[in-house]
Amino acid sequence: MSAHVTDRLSAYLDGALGADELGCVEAHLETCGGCLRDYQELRTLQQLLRGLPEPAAAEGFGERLHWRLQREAARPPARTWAGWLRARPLRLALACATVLLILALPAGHMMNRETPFDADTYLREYLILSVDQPFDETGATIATSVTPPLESSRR
Amino acid sequence: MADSVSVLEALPGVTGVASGAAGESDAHRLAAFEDLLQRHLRSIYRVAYRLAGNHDDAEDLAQEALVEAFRAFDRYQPGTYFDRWVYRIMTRTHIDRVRHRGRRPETSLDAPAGPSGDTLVALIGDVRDDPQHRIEAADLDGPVQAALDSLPEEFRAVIVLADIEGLSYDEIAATVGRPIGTVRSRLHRARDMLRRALPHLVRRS
Repeated sequence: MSAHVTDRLSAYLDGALGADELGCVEAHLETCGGCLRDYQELRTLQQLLRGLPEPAAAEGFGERLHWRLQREAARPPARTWAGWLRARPLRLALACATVLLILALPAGHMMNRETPFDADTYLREYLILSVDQPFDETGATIATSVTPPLESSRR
Repeated sequence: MADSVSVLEALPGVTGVASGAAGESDAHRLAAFEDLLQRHLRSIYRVAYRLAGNHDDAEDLAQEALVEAFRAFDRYQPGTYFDRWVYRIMTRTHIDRVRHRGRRPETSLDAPAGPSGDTLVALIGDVRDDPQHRIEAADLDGPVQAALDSLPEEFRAVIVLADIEGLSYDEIAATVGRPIGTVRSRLHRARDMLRRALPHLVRRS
């Protein structure tokens, strides 16, 4: 007798087996009483579940549901950052431009570098660039403090 | 059955929603949502009941899932199955709720099922003793639901969608967000557990 097909009976019941497996299971069921009994039990179980009575909701379920949905519909939509920006296109454009500027300026400057990029070098380059901006005093202060290691690393 | 029909009729139309532009669009959204809901509320409640195991929890679950669905209604694609879209939200909501409040005490399918110490088998033992006894569907509901309740949530969801709602493996996979192979093996195990929990109902003499 071929190997038992217990683990494929559920898929067999659903007609979800491929042609090969299907033939194998059908052939086995003709010779194995144990697997055939398992299969019949699964089928009875499925019929049992399909025949369960329709559960009736408690009285007033429809009204309570409608009331909750109505309350939900009347609520102001939740405010999110995305929503806030979408509602104000100018701010969205400015935010995008700022992000691009922040990313592009040091990146452009670093294109000519020979040493590899890392987070520290990126920060240093960015701060050095800030020194070039006369109106940014904070950047100048910090950049001065990190300049020496950069110089040494360039050597 | 009569009660469940009255549930459908009881879902009132949209009236008395605030006027004004925003109010009107909200009203239209609600009306469109409830229009779909009218057609599917019965099956949605049925799944909620089979997942939750009792009417109180089923109503909470259905309401929570439907409010969630209403919030996400913009993402519903018209023309696709509304009920299946709600099932997806509901199975996730159900599993989250169960995890959030902590698993119910793990009960073995072989362990005593009721306070009186009756096992599931003992509760329905008279079926075997009296083969002439005709079992009404309503009599089966308790023991079968108790057996369903004892399954892990994800297994219960799979068997409810397959054997009570008649969804295909593809549809179940999309609903529970798992690969088809997982659905197939979970369904196999869920059926096996139920079969062992209800021997006197599934075994033929």
